[in-house]
Amino acid sequence: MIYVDDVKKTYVVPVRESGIKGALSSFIKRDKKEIAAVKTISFEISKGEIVGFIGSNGAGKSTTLKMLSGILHPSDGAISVMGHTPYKRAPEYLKKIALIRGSKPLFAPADLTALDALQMQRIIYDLDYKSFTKDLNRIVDWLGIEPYYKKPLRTLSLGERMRCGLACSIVYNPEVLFLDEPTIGLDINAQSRIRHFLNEYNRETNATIILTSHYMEDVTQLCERIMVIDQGKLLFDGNIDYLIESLTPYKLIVFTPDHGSTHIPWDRYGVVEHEMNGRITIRVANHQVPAITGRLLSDCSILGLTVENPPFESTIEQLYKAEVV
Amino acid sequence: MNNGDVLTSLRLLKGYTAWKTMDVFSWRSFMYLLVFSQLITPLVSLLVWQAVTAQEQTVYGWSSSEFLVYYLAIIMVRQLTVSYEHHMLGMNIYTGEVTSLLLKPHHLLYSVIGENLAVKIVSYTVSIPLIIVLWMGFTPTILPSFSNVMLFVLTVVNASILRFLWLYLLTLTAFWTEKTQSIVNAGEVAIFFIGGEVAPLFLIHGFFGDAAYYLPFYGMMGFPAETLIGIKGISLSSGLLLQYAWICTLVLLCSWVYKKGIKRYSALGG
Repeated sequence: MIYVDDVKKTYVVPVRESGIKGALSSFIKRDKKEIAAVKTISFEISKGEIVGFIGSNGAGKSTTLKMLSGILHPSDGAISVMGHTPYKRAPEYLKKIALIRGSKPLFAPADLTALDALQMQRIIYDLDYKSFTKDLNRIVDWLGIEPYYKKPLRTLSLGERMRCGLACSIVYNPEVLFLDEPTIGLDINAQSRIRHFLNEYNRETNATIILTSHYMEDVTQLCERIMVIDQGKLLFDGNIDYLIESLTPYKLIVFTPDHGSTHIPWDRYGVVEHEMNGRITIRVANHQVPAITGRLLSDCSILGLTVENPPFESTIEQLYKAEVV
Repeated sequence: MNNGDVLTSLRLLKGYTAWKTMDVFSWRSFMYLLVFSQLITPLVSLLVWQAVTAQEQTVYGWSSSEFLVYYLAIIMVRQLTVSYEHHMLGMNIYTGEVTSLLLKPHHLLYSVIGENLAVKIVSYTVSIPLIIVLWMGFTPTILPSFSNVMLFVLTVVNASILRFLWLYLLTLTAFWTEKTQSIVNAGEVAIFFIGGEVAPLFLIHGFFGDAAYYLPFYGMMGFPAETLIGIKGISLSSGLLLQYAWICTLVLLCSWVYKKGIKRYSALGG
């Protein structure tokens, strides 16, 4: 479905020294510097997969998405999506894909409505009027945009614009969705609705979804497979549970002892991570969790106890430190 | 291009024109300013030439009546061929919004032409009543013949295409520089000085005056205006031929610059 083979992307950017001397010398001769946004990445994605692309700012996530969608021309290597070479931007290819950017979810004049934008999509993608109307009603219900899709876009919130942007992108039933930070700037409720919708769209249409996000919730809730990119290099490509298991092979036991047990040195049971408002969090190796939990419950009087996975952020932090490929 | 392609092109052009027209109708104050800005320079030139020929003087055979019709025609040509690509397409390139257009399954030009037609349609709602008021207000004594009016319509359509292509070509420099506005302004100044607006071209003598007929700017402004009153410096067929030759040349140039621009955009990203 998607094949990325030894792809590189370098940019040539002008550079200049600070101060008047730098300004003068750049006026006479402009120096340039080559910056590698993506340094040789390769991967394959099958039809119907939802893949999370994560990494820090400037890691190369958006550049990769732009190369996959055809906006950017790779400096080296080969990309094939559904048998097409993206940068050629063949109309047949562009009819099968959608790139949705969280920062600019909808490209339409602000005084028009989302319905106007959807009608324009019908003309651009040459959709049959009857099936378009049927699909439109379904999408409006699905995304819950009924209350505002006939209002001018300038009056909509970012979350509402995002949902309208998604409606415009899926109205022509693309087989591949490239989502660049689809939940950026949205409140928790709006994020959750977008995630739920993407899951549903994938389940109903078997569309392939590749998304980048800084919100780990997006990735952990939507994707079984993640790709971690840092400084243009792919650090990890695989199952999310495997990543957590291999990089953070411990669990967190969170418990609240009663007042009589406060004198107990908790580091006897594991590494104390937090101790706040009577709630204690200890880190324990995976294989020791049942034994330690048993000991805690028998040794002390415990008011409440839960066993949790470490936050996904700390797994990613470990990955950056370890630089595991 | 087969029948299917033609129908697709017409569908896209109609769709984009309607869509952009809905948008442009909300730029009310901008439209008044645009029409006013297109009116002011030919109106000043008209008043200057009216002053020069006020005492029943003639300049190379033209009296104040001919200058009046000529400059009323120039006002019409300016208003009817209005183009504003540097604002719309240029901004889309600077802000990276053009990315969304490049991901549509058609050439960028459909959207640009749709926008151009939308600006024309909306500005005509202001400029055409204004033109009627000016003709009634100045009451020229020489009225153009029916055949000249028909020729004027044809040459204005050609001038519209020429001016659009010229400004589109200059706007494509936005792929390289953020100073597109200055480049487009220089292009507009060229139309003003050697297109026949500051003075009819037959008043400019020597090599420079002769050469100006063969540049695209005369076809954008002076030539259509002259067809209304009777062409002076060049024959009608030569003028039409030059308009079509420049349309073909600019189409080729635009296509070449567009390809280079897109290549650069694909290298640098939006």
